Amino acid sequence: MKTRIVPFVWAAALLTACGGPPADPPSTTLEIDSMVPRDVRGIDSAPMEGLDLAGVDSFLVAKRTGIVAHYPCTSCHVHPIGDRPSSLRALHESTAKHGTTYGAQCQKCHTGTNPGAIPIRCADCHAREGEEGWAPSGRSHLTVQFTHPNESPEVCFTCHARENPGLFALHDGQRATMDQAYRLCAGCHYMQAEDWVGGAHGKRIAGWRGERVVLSCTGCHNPHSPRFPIREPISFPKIPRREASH
Amino acid sequence: MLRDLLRDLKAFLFSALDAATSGGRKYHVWMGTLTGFILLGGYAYMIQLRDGLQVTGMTDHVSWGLYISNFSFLVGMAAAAVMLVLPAYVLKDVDFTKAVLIAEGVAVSALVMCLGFVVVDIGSPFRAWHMMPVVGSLNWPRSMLAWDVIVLNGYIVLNSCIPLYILFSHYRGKQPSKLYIPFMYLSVFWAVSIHMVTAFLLAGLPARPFWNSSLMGPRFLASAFAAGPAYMILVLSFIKANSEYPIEDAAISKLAMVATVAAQVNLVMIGSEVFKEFYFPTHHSINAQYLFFGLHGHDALVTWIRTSIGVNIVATAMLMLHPIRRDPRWLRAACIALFIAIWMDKGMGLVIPGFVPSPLHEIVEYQPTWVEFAVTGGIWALGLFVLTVLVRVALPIELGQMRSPYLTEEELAAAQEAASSH
Amino acid sequence: MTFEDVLRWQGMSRALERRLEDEGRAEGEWCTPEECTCGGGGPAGTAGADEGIPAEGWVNGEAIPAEAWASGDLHALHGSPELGEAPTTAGARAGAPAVTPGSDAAPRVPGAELLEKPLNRRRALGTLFGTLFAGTQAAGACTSLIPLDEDKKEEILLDWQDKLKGNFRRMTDAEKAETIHRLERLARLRRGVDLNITTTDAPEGVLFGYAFNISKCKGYRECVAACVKENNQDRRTGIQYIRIFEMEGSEVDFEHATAEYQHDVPAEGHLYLGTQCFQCGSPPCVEVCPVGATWKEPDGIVVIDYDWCIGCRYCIAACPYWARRFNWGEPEIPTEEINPNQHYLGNRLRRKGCVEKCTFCIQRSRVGRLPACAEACPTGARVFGNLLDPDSEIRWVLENKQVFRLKADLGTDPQFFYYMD
Repeated sequence: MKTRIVPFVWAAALLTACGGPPADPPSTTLEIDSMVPRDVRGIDSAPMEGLDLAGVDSFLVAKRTGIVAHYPCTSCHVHPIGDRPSSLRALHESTAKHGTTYGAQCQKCHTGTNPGAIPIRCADCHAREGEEGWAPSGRSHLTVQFTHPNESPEVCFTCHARENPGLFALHDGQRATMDQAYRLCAGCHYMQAEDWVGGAHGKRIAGWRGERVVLSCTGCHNPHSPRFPIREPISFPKIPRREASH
Repeated sequence: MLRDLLRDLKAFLFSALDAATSGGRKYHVWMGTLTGFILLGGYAYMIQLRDGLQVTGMTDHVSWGLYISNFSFLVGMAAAAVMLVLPAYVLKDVDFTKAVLIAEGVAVSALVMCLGFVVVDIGSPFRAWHMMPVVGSLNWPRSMLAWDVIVLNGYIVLNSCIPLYILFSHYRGKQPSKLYIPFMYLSVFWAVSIHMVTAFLLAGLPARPFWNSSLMGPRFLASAFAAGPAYMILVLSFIKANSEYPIEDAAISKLAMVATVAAQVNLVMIGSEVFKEFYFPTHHSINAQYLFFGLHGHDALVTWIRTSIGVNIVATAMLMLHPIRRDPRWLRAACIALFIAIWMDKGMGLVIPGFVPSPLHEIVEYQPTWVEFAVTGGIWALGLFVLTVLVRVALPIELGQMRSPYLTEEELAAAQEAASSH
Repeated sequence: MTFEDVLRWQGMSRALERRLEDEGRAEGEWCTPEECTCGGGGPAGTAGADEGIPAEGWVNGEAIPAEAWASGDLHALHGSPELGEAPTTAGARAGAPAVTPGSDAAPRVPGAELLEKPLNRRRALGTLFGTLFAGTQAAGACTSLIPLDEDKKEEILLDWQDKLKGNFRRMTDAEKAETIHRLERLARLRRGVDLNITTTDAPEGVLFGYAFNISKCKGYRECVAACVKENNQDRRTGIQYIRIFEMEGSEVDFEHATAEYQHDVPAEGHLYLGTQCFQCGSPPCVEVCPVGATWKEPDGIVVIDYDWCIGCRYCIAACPYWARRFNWGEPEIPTEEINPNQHYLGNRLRRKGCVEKCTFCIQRSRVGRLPACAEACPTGARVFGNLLDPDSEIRWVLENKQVFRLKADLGTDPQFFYYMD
């Protein structure tokens, strides 16, 4: 027996929770097998597209647009970045406030004779977190530090589309949404992509049974610093006599 | 007929109670001391029952400790009775006819201790009924522990009923009917089985390469047939010195011979295991490394096992020298040494290294707590208590001093004559 | 950069969390790693042994018609509070047959009880013992002028019945249901918690398998934390089913490994390998149990009937993977941390003196969810699924990656595989 679930209820709930309109209203319909655990309901996902599915059934990838909607790009980026870098309103406003005192600051990015033509390497600025005049804003991504790949800074537009940073620029010139980060990542990480499609890489959510729903690359990896962080492991109270040692 | 039987049984029980509770000052001091230890053990066990096994030194890594160590040793003691039963009944060796009842007493007391150690080791003793037939579900024949439960209980039944029947018959001034002879034969095989089953209980675990050896069963038997007769020699010597019970010197010297040969075989087996572990050490030798040399600075058992093997070699050497073995005092000293050496080896030296390091190579050492020592002492005291009572009852019957008050004069005289003629 | 940041990238689960909070967590608890043992779900007492998962869905143990799902009319269902209450009360009644309110210090005649409910011998015996014991206590209490209240008497009675129950495998469905009700009632009386204990059977055509990516594990021990919370392990002695070993170099060698590391991870030049119960295809622990208190279920999970276990610990000695744990003392767990969604053979509350182990979260996996460790893993090192399903992820891993099993030479046939990228 198959039950069709219109995810409108969940979309509404998600909207309420997020407190704002989503960038992309969910339009896919989740088809739930009768054996699907209840957990799967309400997970907003879309079928995987764009990668080779050789030998693997099609599956769903959890969406991320709802999350990215917390950081609406267009409230800062009022124009396509590729055309006019100065359209980074927030950035320039904060700098401009200080008038000519911070004139030298402009030259940190605009170093050439023709300031408008100099490509801005995002990491040139972003790596300077903590410097005067660069206080991070909660709603911007000024704190982003690039450590991808191999700790070397990259240009934003390696991944983001110049005309709309909310889209990804794939290597073949196509555009992908934030929900399809895997298409972008697969451009270089084709081995991982293959494992991810098959199930050896990545993370399945919402139960082992029924429709397969997995997290996209950016579900686990911080896209700007994809390596997993070095941190304190969780530890547990032990009583001495049960302690093992070497 | 049945009425007479019941009447005699009642009289027998009263006579036995009388014999067990009357004695000289030394006897009372001895029994009082044992009772004290039993009570202390009982107190410690109450604490263990209340708080759980956390009051012991055992952990998830070393999940069996002093209790199971003593258990595996004492099973051997129980099995060793066969070393007297076999010559006395099967080979009709007359030198052993008097000693055999004592041997069975030793077996019963050892079994009482075995069962005691199993019970105190169980985490939920009140659920032990799960092993009973019908109401429970015994995992037989798959589990070696189920086998062990059966053979131990069977052996204790055999070894209590046969001597009890003989003693009771003698008490009534009758010769026991030959019906018990098949059971006697059965008990011979059974004795070997209890020890083999216990060895298999450990040897059947591929998870523990230290135990997972085909030599485990034979080594158990060899050590048991060394320590058992050594213990028996001590008990028989004591009885011989403190009563007029006629124990042949030949019986003791033959037992000494048995102990000597078994101790030699046991040493050969230890040597062969040591060779196998250390000639080309593998991952599986790691437990033996821990035992004999210590591992990563953990060496709790090194002194223990080295002492054991040293004493074992000395005792075996003493037994091998005829002049020493034939001198009763030296013999006793050698027997004490052999007994202690094998207790150290077959107990802690066998069980604990099986757990250290763990199957995932984690090292957690084991140190028994006072509760374990107290409970262990209590169970040993209980075993000695049982043995003393059994001997105390058996001796006067076998000497013809204790007889049913319902015997006629003629019957009494005939019985007396029969007793002295043995 | 903290782990919180990483979690932020899983923000979707946050959104869901909030949604669930909005809805009072009435139905499906899709949990985040940090709180996977949340007190989700209300008391759903009716889940019987043989009911399984209905096609339509569940709210508080009540079946919801497909139409209700389709129309999205769930709030109406949530709105009725008695949905959550009724089954529990029913359970209490079923589980407490003997003591009636108003009975004084003198116990009821046990014989009458036997005639009324000739369910089985052991139960009757339990009733007898319980009634007698309660009576004795009450008599003792009278002298000190402290009345033994009804709850206490009921608890003693249920406790005795529980002590004398049989092996789970031999129980009929009715006995299982009765046992469950009794346990739920006892938990209510003792801890004041409402449990939802199930006895869900193994699903058809399922053999659970697990794969662990040793290239991906970073040693954070998130899985261990999730496991402890999910499975109601003893907090005092810190029982952990999962052990993460930090191994030197790139060789899988336990001799040069430790599970007790306390530095920041992942450490340079180390690999991390987790162990837990491997649910062996040919489990030595099952073989050795003298009372048949542990066995392998049709879906491959090796389970323990905690109340049938006598605590001999032979299975601990027999396990080549050191996967079993013993309750050396009375397990302690703060009431507010108890995970109420339990399975009889899984994470239900244990007692002193019994052995326990990982069951692949039987209470979750049997209803289609991932084990808590797999769900909690932040790096995706854990793959769980049905080995009999050719389209499952685990099968893809086995067919496309190089895999190995620990101590495969022992022939225990673990259903837990390791692989690398």
